[in-house]
Amino acid sequence: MESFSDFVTSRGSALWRSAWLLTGDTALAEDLLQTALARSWPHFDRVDSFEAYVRRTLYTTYASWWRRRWRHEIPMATPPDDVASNGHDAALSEDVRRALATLSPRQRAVIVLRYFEDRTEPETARTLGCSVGSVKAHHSRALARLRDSTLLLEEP
Amino acid sequence: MNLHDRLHAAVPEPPDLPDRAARAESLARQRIRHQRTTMAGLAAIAVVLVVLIPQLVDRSPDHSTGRPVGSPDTTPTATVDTPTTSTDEIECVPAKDAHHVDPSEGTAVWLRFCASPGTQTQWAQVPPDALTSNLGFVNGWTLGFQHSCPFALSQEFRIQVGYADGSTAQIRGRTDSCQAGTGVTTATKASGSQIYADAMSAFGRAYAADFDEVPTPAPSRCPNSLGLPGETDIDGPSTSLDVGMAMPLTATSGLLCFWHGSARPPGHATLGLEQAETLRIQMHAVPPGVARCRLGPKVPSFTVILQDKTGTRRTFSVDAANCGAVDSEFKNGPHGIVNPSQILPQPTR
Repeated sequence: MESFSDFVTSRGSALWRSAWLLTGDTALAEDLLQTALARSWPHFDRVDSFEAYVRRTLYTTYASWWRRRWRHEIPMATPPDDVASNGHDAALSEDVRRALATLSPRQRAVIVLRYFEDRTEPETARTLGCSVGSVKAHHSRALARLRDSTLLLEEP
Repeated sequence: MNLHDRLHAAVPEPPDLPDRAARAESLARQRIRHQRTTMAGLAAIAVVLVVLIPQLVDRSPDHSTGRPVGSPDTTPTATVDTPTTSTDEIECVPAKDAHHVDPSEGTAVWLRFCASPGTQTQWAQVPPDALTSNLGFVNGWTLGFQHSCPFALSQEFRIQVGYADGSTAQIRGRTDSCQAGTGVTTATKASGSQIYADAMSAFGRAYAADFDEVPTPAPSRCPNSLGLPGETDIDGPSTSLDVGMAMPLTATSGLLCFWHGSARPPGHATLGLEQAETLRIQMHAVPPGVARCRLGPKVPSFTVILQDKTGTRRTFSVDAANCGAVDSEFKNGPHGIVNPSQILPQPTR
């Protein structure tokens, strides 16, 4: 039977990536993931799908954190070292950070779930604990805002 | 490259942390130790039950005001600036610059909740905006002798109030029955939960003032399962108010559902204005989560369906981690809480 440690080893990186897209910061992403894992740990052997439980906790924790923490994210002219140094597309990464920073926390969560985790609208609604209609509304507004930013939607 | 591909290409490689699981487990154990060493029960839930149950028993509350239980009678209607015009203009000042000691003295001209300085503490959900008028309720936050208070598993909040003379007061508290602090050695007579409720209620009424009323029936159906509260949610016009809160507008009606055994359908009771608004405020002070309690006759679990004036409905369930604590409160709690299953109506089919 898989242990909690096994689970974190196998799924921690994937969860961290979602956390990074939500927070736009490596340290905050780790902080968010740690908080979600700690909150979920007591339920490890009690829930049917622990990963789904952690994922939901990740998003609800993110939503509950103080909204203004990300409100004044300041786009940087050059990518920070931690982003630039590990071999991926640093310029694109910075574009993503800046574009997502223009969204509200809820809109950001919907975009990450729909386009990064490839969740359906009902799955997104279940994860965020809201209705499908609410997901649609946030999705629509988020895309409109991203189009305005021109950083992510240059091509369909 | 489409949005999906861009997101995937943009995410940096996660740091290699072999002790991630151990750290999370350690943090989790630390949280549990705190639970065991403190007064059992999340104070927010205890407050809900203490406030709610007597009202359900006497069934003669004045539901005409929509004011949360315990708020000052003189609480005025407040107005709020929209995020685009106020949040960048009225910011919290550094704590060291908040020299105004007694919040009840002086003319308050703005009030806002302030950001948390760290992430290890649980912070209550709060509005992101600033209230800029009708702040008379702040005069009720008088200073009092500071009593010791046990650590509780409630949520923390920080409020700053700006005064006409340019000074600023800071109030830091928790959403429980402990006093809120105004400085290292000073505190308000009012509990943290009361101050939090006063401010949240004012914001709720201010937000509600921006929306027209949509005639809708009161919520009348409990969810089919305690773990599926979202199925009773409805998005009304107020959903467009994106302020990062579960339910920013004042609640106008509500339904309390409770389970005390997995084989039975939920029992329910209709809530009045005051009860619904009290629960709306308190539920923002409870950690987000869905109840996954082991159902049983001694551990009733709750789901509350609240509705605002635009017909938006939001459903909350008691967090699983607190079920044992709630049970303990029923048996041994200092508040004399009784099991609501003995009071509320019999389960309805």
